[in-house]
Amino acid sequence: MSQAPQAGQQQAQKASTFNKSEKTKDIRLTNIQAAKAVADAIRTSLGPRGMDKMIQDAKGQVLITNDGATILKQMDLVHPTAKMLVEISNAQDVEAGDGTTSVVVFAGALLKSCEVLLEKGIHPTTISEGFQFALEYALTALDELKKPVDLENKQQLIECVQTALSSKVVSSNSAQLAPLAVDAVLRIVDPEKPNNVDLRDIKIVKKLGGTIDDTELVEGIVFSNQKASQAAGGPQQIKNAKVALLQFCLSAPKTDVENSIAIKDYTEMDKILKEERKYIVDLVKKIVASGANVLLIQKSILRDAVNDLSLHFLAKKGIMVVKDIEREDVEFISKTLCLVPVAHIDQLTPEKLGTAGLVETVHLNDESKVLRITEVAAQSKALTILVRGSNQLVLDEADRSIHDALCVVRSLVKSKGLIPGGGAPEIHLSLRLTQMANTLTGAKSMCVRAFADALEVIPYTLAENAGLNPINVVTELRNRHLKSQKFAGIGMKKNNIVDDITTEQVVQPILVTRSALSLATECVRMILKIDDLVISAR
Amino acid sequence: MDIVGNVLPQVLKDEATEDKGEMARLQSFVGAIAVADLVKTTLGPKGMDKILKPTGPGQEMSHITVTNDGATILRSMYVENPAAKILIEISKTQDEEVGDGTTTVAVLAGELLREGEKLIQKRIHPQHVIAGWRIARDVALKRLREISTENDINSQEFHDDLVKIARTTLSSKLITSDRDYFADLCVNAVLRLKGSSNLDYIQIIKLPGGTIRDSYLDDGFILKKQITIGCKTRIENAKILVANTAMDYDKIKIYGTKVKVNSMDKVAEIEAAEKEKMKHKVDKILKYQPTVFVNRQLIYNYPEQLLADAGITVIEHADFEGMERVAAATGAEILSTFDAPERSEQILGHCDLIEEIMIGEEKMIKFSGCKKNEACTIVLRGASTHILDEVDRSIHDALCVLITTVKNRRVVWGGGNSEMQMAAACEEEAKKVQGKQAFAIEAFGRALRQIPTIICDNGGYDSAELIQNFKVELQKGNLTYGLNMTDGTIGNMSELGVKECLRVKEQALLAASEAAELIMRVDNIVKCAPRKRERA
Repeated sequence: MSQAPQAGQQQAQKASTFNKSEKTKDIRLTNIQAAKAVADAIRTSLGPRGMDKMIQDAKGQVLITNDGATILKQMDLVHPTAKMLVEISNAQDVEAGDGTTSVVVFAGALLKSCEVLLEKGIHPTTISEGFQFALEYALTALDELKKPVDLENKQQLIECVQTALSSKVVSSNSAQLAPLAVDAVLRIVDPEKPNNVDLRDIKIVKKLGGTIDDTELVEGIVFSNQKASQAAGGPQQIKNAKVALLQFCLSAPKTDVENSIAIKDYTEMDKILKEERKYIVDLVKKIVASGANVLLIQKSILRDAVNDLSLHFLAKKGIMVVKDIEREDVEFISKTLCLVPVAHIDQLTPEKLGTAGLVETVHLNDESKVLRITEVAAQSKALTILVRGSNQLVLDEADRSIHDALCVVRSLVKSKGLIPGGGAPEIHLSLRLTQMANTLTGAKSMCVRAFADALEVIPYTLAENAGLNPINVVTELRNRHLKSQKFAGIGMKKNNIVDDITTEQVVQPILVTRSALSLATECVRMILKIDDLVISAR
Repeated sequence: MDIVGNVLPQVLKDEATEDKGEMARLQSFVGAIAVADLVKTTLGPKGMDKILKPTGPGQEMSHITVTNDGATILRSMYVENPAAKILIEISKTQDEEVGDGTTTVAVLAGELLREGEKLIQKRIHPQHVIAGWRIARDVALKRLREISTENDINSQEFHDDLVKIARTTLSSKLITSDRDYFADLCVNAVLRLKGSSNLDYIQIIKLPGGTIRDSYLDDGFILKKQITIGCKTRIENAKILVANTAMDYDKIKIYGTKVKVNSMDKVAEIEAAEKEKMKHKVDKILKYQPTVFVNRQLIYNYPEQLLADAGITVIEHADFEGMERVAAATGAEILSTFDAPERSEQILGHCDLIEEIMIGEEKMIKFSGCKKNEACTIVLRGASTHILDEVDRSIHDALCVLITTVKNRRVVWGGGNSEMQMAAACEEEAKKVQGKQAFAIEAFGRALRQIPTIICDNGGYDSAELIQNFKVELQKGNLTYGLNMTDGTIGNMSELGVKECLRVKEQALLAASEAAELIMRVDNIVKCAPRKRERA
């Protein structure tokens, strides 16, 4: 009887002595610190001289990467606000595909400056509004640096991709990968919807072995797991192929209802074998009649896709068979080869077939083999990139880097504008915001200034990671920008400040910076507004 | 049983507890006030958010919520205090009834009890307090109705009012900086409904990526599914058949069905028969002459191909909700059997255009120009799922309030104006009433005045000064004045355009006073013995 009221009273005491400023300040500070810790953890991987992180997951698998989004995804974070930073990194990945580290680093810097503002006694919502105001101004100021992009001008696009790749393990291969990524994306741009591309139309196939140099763009499909059947000497190379994608099976019939065949004696068994043979011969005949000479057969969990008998017959007819095609790949295959999948033998008609100039099993420079379908029809709107790498870790990282590169090209397709890289836009914005802050009065002015200071974290970190003196670099950059050299940035080739960073071909899509700024600000504003952590029952 | 000395015989079960009189009352006050204090900081345009972190093991642990919505916070809070539970309950009711004011109602009830506690300390009997409160409530309600205004539903003024109300509701939320944009968006969505109060027609799709500003109102219905490969992705003047039927295979659902045959040919025949059966079903569907076929369940490759060959666009695996919405929006009936093709006119849904669109990285299907044109979709974009969820809740609040306003049409000034006017009314009344109730009436007024006070405090402004100035302005007859939370001053609400829905205020007042009354009447709390639980 006494326990409950006591607990209640304790609560009451807590409630009556509930000193708002004390408690909420604590919560806010821990939130900010947690988020800052996350930002600090990945800070060193920013920029071309950024370092990689090795992550060992719970299963003991090792992952080496420089990609901010991937690092954060793998880190097992518990703190709620830390998780929010992971989320914005993901959002940036979805939106722009690149700048996933920058967005978190910038958010961390913004939070750091919040701390100072909060200490000064500025109300969080005022800070939040101030940041939003600064962001809007920054986004318009960013356009001053914008150069239009012509999608016809491949060289320009390639430079842009090279900047994105410069921070990755594969940076030494960027001369080769960049044009590849540009070609790939430009090929699949739909003239009807010129402002967006679906990157799912580019399939990245990873194959262990060789080096990254062997990575290539295949206008067609590469299968690394599925092979052309070699049973009964099935053909390994077919020219002028007519490809059929089958969604039914070439094996003994099976009903949906469970069935069993009861036989009584030896002759009946013979009969059954004969019947099965006949059944399959009929199927094969129909396939031959349709004119198909390459069969891609969808994987079925209910029964065997092919059996020895059908393989044998098909091989005799010189038809290549590829089985175990995944359900998810069906759409991609039909898009690439311009074919229609066929679900029943009766529907197998010549117009449902796709064409390819060459289908062959290729021996790569080492022991491994892949199946390639090339020389596809001109209207095909999907293609494959075959990535090679000497070990799984490199291969995975190359995959991620190519994804980033593709995303960069996509962001250029989405919003056709380029801005300089190398910290130039951040310094430019920082200066413009500081100038603007001087024209304001009150807390807003402080907030805009803090936002401007936070922006400098990007060039600062870039310089720091490159082993330069960050203070010298940042102040020097400020100086140059003040003398209206608005393209001055940190050039990594000479490891020094360059008057016009674009002459070093360091450029990036405007969308990357724009979305990084907006996402980071949005998230910081949300964190700022939090003043309590409630433990809930659900 | 204890027999020693003057101990009472044990009436209750072991571990069951009983609190009586003052003790019981104290306990309920404490609980309710603690809950009210917790959500109090979320009140008003400068209110703060809370993180809700679930306890317990498993996946749930990782899912956190960041919110400003009183109902959401209270609903997920873990409380044991019975009075606190009552507060949570009224907040929920408020959410269901009008959708907004969920924090206000809990805070108002808490403040009423805080005042009530003082009265009890003055040795005023709870029944007198309650009697006073009742008078006060009626007076406040009367005043609230008096100060409300009404505009014709089709007039421009009413439309402006709606925008203003939406703005006011959204101003306390995360999207406050984009409130003009979202206010327009919500008003447009609600006006499309043409007076119907079915929120189902407004679909909200959340997609991470982009910024909040990239959100938009789409005047069609969007289904988060894909059109099957090999079908046309753009259909004009579509006739839609919505079905919930098995299109994998028609299986006899008896465990262990089995066929026994004696030759391979027979197996092939059965297989063919099965296929034939499916073909028959497809033929039946074709008799309805649809151009689009939407099924809840999966469709196997074979029937899919048959349908595709017939030139029909197939959408498989539309879940329950998606299917019902499609049916509602396009005016289709959901079918499971296909034996009445002659009724196809009534059964098929219709819309002008179906096309595949891409939002962010996702492909979706858009139905535009539907038969029931009320349907529309709000596509939300944002930096993270937390932000999206919170924006979703905010938009939902705004939509609810707007729908309530469209029904009720009466509006009051915001910025604490209505509370202050009600408080003034209570104080005037207190001067006229004889007896102890007058104290309670006065207390009711004070509690009402706490709402603007808290809003001021949350903004970090000098509440004592502001509220006094506010009072003076009202006394001078400036009846449209209220708190200007951007500058921390008293301003004219008609210039600032801060309006609120009468219904929300009414409901909050009634629910809060009822809850407070209920808690006040309590003088005995009996807690049953807890069920024995295994310790993990």
